[in-house]
Amino acid sequence: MTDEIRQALSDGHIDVAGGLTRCMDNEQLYLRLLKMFAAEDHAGPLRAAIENGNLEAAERKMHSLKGTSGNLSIMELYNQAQKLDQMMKENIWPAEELDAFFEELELVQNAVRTAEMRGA
Amino acid sequence: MTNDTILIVDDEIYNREILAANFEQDYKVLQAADGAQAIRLLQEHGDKLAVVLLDLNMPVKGGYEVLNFMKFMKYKTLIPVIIISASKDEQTEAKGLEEGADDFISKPFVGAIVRQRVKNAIELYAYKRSLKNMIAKETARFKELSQFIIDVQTMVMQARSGASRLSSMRIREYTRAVLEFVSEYSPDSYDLGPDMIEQIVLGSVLHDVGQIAVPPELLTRESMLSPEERAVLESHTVRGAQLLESLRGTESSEYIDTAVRICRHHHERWDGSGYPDHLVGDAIPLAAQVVGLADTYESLRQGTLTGRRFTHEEALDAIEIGEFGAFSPVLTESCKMMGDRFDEIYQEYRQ
Repeated sequence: MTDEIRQALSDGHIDVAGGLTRCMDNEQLYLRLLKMFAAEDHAGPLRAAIENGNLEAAERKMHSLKGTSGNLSIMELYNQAQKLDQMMKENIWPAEELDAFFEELELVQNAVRTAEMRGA
Repeated sequence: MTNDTILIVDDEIYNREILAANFEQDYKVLQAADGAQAIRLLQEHGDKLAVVLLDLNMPVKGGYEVLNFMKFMKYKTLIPVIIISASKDEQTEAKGLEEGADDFISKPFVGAIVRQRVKNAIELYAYKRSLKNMIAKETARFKELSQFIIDVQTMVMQARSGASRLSSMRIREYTRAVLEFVSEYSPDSYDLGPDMIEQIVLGSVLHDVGQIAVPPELLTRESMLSPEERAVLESHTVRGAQLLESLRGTESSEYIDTAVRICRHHHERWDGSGYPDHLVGDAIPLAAQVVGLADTYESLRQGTLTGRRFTHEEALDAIEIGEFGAFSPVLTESCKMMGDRFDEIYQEYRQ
């Protein structure tokens, strides 16, 4: 993995070393999963669920984003998802934190796309 | 049978792929994206699975549904389940373990820890499976042994009293049928596991072993005995128990305990009309109650109790009204429901 790619991923608050370890140092697999994650529309379904009042679906999506971001070592996103998952379980829906989460999600997805353009 | 396959159940492909990467060197890996798929794969590959790694929150069917299916279909006794969940709160973990999971791991997981815990679970269950195989072999050996004991014993008895080998085998099978029925339809009445049933069935073969100590001519003319002669005949119960006790080594053996009870008490009756101890009700060991019932049915059909061969229906009626001593309500009721099985056994073991 080149330093440019590593830097791009770090800009998305991704702990590359941790993620690689979890993937048994299989770089190809790790990058493939990150790119898949960047290409998937996570925000759309989550926003729709919240706006339609389908809180159960929203909670499920957040829970699943928490697990996935954690396993991929997308650290800042994981930290926020963890807090939001807990709050949503307690039926708290903080608009500000949710906005921040969507922003962070976009940052991560852009960072991975940048890495991809640099040859990842 | 080799259990070399890991089933990974998670709705997120990211988690499945990362887990797979951790195990594909050592195992074959199957993946399911929801509970319904997991159940299909279990049905198809259940005999090859070494472990199931199970996410809880999934669409279609969740993790607990998979777990319940595995328990219901008896997969769970042979395949460990490790929950891998994004939840890390204690309630979720406690519930997962309570529902029967063997271990609980939170996402994000540490690869080395997951691999080690999975290895531990797999080794434990491999050991469990090998024990189970051993027990199955032992049970088969036990059954062979039972047949051998029947053969030796009836050779002796036949020479003395004309008791037939088939008769012993029928009593054994009536005993088994009653016990299996009671354990299935009235599980709360008695503590009857498969091991206990097998013990009683094996013990039933020895119920009349004490007849060795009774003069042969008393055995064959039961209907015209003096009170003294009758007492000698009835002593076969106590003599049988003593005989087995004397064979007991220094070790305690549940099997011998059961056989001793059967020998001593198989002529006791629920209403206290039996012998030798005139026990009443459930003071009579269940093993002896059941063998007593089986023995009575056989004696009625063979005509050794009254000098006349009863039909199947007559024999069941006599047992139900307690004509030759009462049996417990549970056994009487069981007889009413499964008694026809006796006739099937009677026909099956004719020649």
